[in-house]
Amino acid sequence: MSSLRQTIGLLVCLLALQLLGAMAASTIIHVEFSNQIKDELSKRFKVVASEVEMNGFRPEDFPSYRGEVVFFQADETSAATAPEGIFEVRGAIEDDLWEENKLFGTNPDWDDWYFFVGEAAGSVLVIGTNLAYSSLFSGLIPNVFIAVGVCISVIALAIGFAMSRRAQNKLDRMSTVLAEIGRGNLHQRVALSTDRDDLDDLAQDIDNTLEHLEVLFNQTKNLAVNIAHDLKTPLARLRLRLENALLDTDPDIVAQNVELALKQADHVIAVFEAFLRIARLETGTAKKRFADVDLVAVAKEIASTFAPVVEDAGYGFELRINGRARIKGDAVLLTQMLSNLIENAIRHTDPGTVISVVVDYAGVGVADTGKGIPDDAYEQVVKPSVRLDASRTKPGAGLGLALVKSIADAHEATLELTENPWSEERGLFVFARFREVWTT
Amino acid sequence: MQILLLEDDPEIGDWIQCGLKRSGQVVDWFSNGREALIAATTSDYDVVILDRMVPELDGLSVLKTMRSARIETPVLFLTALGDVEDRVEGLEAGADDYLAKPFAFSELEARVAALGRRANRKLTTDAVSLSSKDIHLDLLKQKCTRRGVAVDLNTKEFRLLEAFMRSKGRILTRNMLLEKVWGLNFDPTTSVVETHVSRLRSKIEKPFGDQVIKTVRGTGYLFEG
Repeated sequence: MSSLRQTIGLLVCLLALQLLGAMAASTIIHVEFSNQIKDELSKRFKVVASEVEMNGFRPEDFPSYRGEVVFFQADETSAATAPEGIFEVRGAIEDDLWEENKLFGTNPDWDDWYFFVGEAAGSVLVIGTNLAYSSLFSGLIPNVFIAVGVCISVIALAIGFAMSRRAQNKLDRMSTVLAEIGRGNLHQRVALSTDRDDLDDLAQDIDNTLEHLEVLFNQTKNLAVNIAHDLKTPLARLRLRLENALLDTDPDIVAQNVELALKQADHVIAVFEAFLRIARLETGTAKKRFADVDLVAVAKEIASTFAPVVEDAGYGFELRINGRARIKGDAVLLTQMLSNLIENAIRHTDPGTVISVVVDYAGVGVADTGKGIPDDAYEQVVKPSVRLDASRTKPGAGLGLALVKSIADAHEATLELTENPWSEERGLFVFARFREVWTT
Repeated sequence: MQILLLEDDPEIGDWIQCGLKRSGQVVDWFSNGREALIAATTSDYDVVILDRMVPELDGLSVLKTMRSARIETPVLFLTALGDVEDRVEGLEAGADDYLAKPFAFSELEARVAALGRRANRKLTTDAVSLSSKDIHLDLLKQKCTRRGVAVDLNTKEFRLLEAFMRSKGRILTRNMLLEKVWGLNFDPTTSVVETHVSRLRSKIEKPFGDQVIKTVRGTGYLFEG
């Protein structure tokens, strides 16, 4: 509930600030009011004093109204000794004072007064004004602030709670999914709504990562299964041959069995070799040995090496130089890539097929005029140990194209699988398009 | 030949030692790097075979120390399967050849023979022509003649014949040919070597009615010129 905690924390801060604000506002208003009242009291005193000077003190001239008292002490001694100025009196004025001075029309319960004491017509004139209004007013301010604060808090808390619930639900969903993933259910996805807030973006990132992980995980799982399958057959044959050799006494048959056993062992080693090469390539250490490579030179070298092999196997061979390109790479790895593609073409097409090594300004590849593969298989065949003939009747470790892909990846080249564009047959064209090429 | 073998696996060490002894070599087998280095610096060997991962001092360090002590005995480096880095490191440290485990014994035997110092001494690496009985190779003009008759060879066939003639009387395995002629450190499953040897034979043997390149079953080829 971290988001709700945040909301509450923020709200407490807000309320504290509001309280401080209320106190400050109340103080400022109180001071302002006092000053204003004092000003008005001074002006009023001048008016009353001038009237008393002219007409003498007549109580009926000063009818009491709410909050003002005027009294007059016709005593010259008092006038000489009385202090002058404004005095603040806290609390109610004592009753006897009211009585003695014949104060009238006032409510003695009104507390807090300002009195202006001064001299008028040789006597003491006192005018008092009650502060109840201003006290009432400045006392009201904090209450208003508190009321507003409470309202805002309640509303903010409600909104915050609703929002935090949303966020919390999303977070709960994420942790549930991650816990499921931890238990091995890799197909789980967070799949939040598309509000596109930060949490949705995060959820999307998590989903993308999970997608990628699941693919990798399945690849590894399939690879392990397929490799086990690819190794089981030659190992079973190896064992069979050795057993036969052990049981037989005819030296010729023993030798023949041992030779066949060796052949199976070599096959096992070849599978491992290809597997290890892929693993090595994926660590990215090959880059250290990259040098300037002319793709046309590589293609020509491949042609001179493989043309006789391809032709002797009953296939056609051609070299298509449609452009010239140089790259940063490893010529031996690129040779292996092309030789694997040629071997794949021989393995998966029938004699009579024409196999072309193609080089242009963007990369290098191999095309054949065979039956090709279905569109939806283009993605799949480059995964390790994927063979399209599910029965696995044709020889091959199924690692050929995966190795090609690893070599292309090591060169930051993308592997493009399409139909053969130079043939009327569907065919297959595997092309490694390099990211960076020099055409000079 | 006097051969130093550094190999810590008792089974593989015994297998190599017995095999090499059977073909008439003298083998000193060490299972730790320090002892092998002492032997290599104090005795005169024709070929040194070093395994990479051994106790006390690894094969690479033995090789580097040997080379820095100016001991130029040919070294065959044994590396782990598929470990390109190991191989490159070995060659950079001064190894003359390498072999990835597991290997066929015939492969090791052929490579050791090729490295043999006495055999190598006869080789003139900067020769401009090679002759063997009635076959003559002009390395500058890339021309081949047999019994005075010009034989038209393409680049690969020429280099193949050159490799054979330089290793006259010694077995060349498929892998050795792939490395020497094609510069490939992997084994294409297609019959690259067989095809090119067969084409070379059709040009250099067939018209002359005899055999100069012998197939050694399960191992490779032998040029008898």
